[in-house]
Amino acid sequence: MGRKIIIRMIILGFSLFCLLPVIITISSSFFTYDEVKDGPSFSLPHFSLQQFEEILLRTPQYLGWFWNSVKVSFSTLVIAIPLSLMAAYGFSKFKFPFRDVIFFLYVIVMLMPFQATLVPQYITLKELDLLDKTAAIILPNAFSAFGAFLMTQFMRGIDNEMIDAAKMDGMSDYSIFIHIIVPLSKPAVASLFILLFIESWSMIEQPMIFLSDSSKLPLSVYLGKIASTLYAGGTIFLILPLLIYLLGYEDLVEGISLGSIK
Amino acid sequence: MESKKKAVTGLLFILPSLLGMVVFVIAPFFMSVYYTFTQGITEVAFVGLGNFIDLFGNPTFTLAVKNTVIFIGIGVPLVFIIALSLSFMMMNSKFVVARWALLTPLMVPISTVIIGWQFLFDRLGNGILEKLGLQTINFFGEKYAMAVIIMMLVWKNIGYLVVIFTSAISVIPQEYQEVFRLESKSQVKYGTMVVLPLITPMAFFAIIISIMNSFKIFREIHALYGENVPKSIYMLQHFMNNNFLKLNYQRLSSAAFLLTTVIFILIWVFMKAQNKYMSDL
Repeated sequence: MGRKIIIRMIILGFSLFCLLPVIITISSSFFTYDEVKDGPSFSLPHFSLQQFEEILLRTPQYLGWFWNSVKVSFSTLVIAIPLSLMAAYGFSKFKFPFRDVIFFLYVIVMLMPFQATLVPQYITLKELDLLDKTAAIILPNAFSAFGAFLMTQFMRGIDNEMIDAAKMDGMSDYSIFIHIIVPLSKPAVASLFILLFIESWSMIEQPMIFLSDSSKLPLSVYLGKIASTLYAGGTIFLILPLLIYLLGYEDLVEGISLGSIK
Repeated sequence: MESKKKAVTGLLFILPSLLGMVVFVIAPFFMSVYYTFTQGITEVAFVGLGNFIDLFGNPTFTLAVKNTVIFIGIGVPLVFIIALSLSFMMMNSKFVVARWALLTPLMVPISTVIIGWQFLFDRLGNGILEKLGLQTINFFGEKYAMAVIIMMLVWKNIGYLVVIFTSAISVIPQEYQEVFRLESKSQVKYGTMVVLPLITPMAFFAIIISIMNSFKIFREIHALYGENVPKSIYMLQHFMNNNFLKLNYQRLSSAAFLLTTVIFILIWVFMKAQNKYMSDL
């Protein structure tokens, strides 16, 4: 019996560990900044919306950067998801020369840290005259190797008999994709949506290098620089990912597990 | 004929994605390999392996390699073991809220939560130390920085790995556990002797994903330190970033080339090991 309690304590401990910094950020945003910024205080601060007022009403750049983040994240998703689905269908349900080599290449690209592909990406963006344009932080991520990989892992699990039966009925490869594969992939798409969203929502590396015009930067780069309203700024930035997490939790879990089964 | 047509259709489906990949990563990568064998900006000279020899003689590079290896070498096994143990502990119950809590960090942008961490360490942690009459610690300074960012890696990735391990465990038939119970009551033994071998293929995948995620620690470090990164956590990513800003593409490309080769070999070995394991099963 005692063992069970210890196990529960450990699980509780790690759960708290995971939530604590988030709880601190959110709760600190409801006090005046002066109360939370100075040294350790164990006295109870006073509830206040001062930080939110400051950031929403008196920091016009904040909303601009926030809007940049929204634009960049959703543009990336709108391109990445259809492309990933198509590529995955090709990888999982067709045989063609060099298929496995190309897929292996995708895995390598997927695992590459951004800095390793920095020079190549920079060269291309320069040639295409995209540097310092918002597209510079959308396009390279829109062709997502991870997306194609995750969807392929998922589609490999889709029963081939179903596809063969549809072929017997005279369906073309294209309509099989639209009417069978895409609807069946819904949970995986939801999961990919969430994973890609959070990836571009918290992006720091690319905008730092590819954009020099500060008005085009997403909020993720600038958040730390708005000192006096840090906590409120962070809390507002967290609303969208948290909402998506609340709504998509089941799909996210299903997608992560489906994506990892060989 | 039929199969040839099928091959073309398959290729057509991957083409849009592949084109983007070729344009943004693969083709320019091979172009940048050219940099690795040359030196100079206005007068470009072919130097063979000169850049690589320079790299290994460069103390900043060796420091970055050392730190990256320490970080991944400790961080990845640590998060792996914690997540695996938690998955075992939660194996026979639902723990809805705990699972939800564990996965939350995955969705939290680092820019948001960094202030929460600073508060935890600098104000709360040191506040408690002070009340106890102990000396305060500069958690984010040179000495403890590595430990702090390893902890952040663990924080970020526990949930993802728990989901992967849980799904691997859930595929194992319940009867195994019932049969094993006849032999032994030990949950730990059941975990290590029955479950662990069965989920090994997933473990390979989990390790690769964790290594990939560990390179993203750049974000945490940037949010914490901006441009002034302590020496003890100066990583390959910083080395490459700085050389880019100094327009030293040759040095950067050489480092990127080395890193790519290492990752390539690593994945190759993992895939071979996994295939071998699967065929032995």
